[in-house]
Amino acid sequence: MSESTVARPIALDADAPALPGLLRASWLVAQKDLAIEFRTRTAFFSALVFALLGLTIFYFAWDPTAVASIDLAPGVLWVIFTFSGLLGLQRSFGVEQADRAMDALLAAPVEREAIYLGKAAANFLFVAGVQVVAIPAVALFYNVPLGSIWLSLTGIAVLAALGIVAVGTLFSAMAVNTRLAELLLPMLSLPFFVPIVMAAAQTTSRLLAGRPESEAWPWLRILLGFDLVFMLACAIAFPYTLDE
Amino acid sequence: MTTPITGRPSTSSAGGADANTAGDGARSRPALIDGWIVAAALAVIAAYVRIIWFTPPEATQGLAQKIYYLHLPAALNAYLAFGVVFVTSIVYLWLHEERADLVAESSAEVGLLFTTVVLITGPIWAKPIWGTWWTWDARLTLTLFLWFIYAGYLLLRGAIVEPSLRARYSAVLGILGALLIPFIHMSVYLFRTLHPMPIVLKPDRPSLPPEMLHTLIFSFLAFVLVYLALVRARYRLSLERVRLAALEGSLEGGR
Amino acid sequence: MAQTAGYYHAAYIVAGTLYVLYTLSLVIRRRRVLQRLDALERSGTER
Repeated sequence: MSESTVARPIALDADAPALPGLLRASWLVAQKDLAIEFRTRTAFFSALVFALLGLTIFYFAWDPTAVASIDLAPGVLWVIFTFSGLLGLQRSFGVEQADRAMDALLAAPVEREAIYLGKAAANFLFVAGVQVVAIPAVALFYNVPLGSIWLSLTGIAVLAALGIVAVGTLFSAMAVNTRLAELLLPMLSLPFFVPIVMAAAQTTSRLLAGRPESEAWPWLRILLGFDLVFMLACAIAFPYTLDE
Repeated sequence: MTTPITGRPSTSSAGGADANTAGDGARSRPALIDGWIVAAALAVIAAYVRIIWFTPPEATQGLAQKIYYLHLPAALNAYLAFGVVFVTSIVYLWLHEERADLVAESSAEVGLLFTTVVLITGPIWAKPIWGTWWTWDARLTLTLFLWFIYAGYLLLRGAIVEPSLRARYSAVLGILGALLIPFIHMSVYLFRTLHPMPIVLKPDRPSLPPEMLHTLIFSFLAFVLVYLALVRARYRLSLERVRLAALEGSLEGGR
Repeated sequence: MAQTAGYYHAAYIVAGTLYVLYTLSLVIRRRRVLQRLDALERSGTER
């Protein structure tokens, strides 16, 4: 079953100016992607199930007498976050492959950056959606009091998701035009995900151990810097990846 | 006693055969093993000789310390090569100059070679000095990531057939990869300051007596020559591959 | 001191071998490309 819609131009408001503003165009692109995803929901559920399976496998690969749960759980959480995020990113441009939907998208009068922002936004919501389930699952399976740091954890999750989505959306656009798309996307993305995972996991583990928030600050600074630099760089680079 | 020198055999005769077997006599192709490579080979042999026989071993580390003369120049070249990839990537996106892309491709391959040498000589040095093959030492870890970026770059190139798309995508990755390096550095550095690892000896920056410093510089210059020679040779290969692809493409178009 | 000599030999041999092998790979790859170029050019001029 094809996940893409029949190629049709993005519906524009009749009163709108010929070239929608960047944000509006991005939101339209995001809406389109989310509508596709919502209609079938297969990718989202697949990523969700994958995350839960991963958490389960890690649990059974773990020797609780050797490593305390509170030491293991942050690492597991953020690694699973990365890999389930990759699943969502794969489909981000994969949906445009069928019916040459990408050509229709490019024919629409939207700035190219809007396509990137829109898809990144859709991916962000996808990843966030998986996290909403995965984080409580980690708390449950590994018996760690994530609820006690839920506010900070949310902040970390948002920053981490932004980074993953910024880089992953761009690489997804590139990988989809190559011969080894499913292999290439993880291989290109993972080196970029490392600073994100590091910062997120180290911060989570520190906060869980009850250490003062000021200790997490250096990591968060790196994460913030990463997000800013790569959101900008990938948005600028995106038009170069389009095949037109 | 004395190690056999594994210098580069002078294959200028084989390289000359390259030019002689060119089918079309009117167009003589330059030999791959050209003056640059011979010069680089001689420089490396000279460096090896100097290192092995004319440089005293360091007192505490013994002979294994001499691995450093191989390890550090390779590391500097690995990063130099990536700098070249970065700059040529920008040039390509800005000017659409195909030659910039070919230089990037060549520098990436040679850079991968040097990075591999760093990652192999590093542990071989670490084992006798630090007692373990691999520690997540900040510099070696950064070099490991450099290796991953190079590998990704070359695999990306291998996965795209269309030349201009390949060049564009590679350029994007080349630039983003260069942006990543400082973040990896910061992350690993922060990680290590917060998780200090036991180190037996820390021969990081020994103050080098003059003979050792001179040998290091000599070795470094020799390997820069190797870098330049190899990139030149690889670049020539790139040009010929482009010509081959163009010829095959036009022949197919004609049928 | 002598105990570390083995490592030192290994490193130099491995590194030297890698550089040589890479150069040889360049020679071989170039030879293949030139052969195919010659074959194409010959068949092209025959027609």
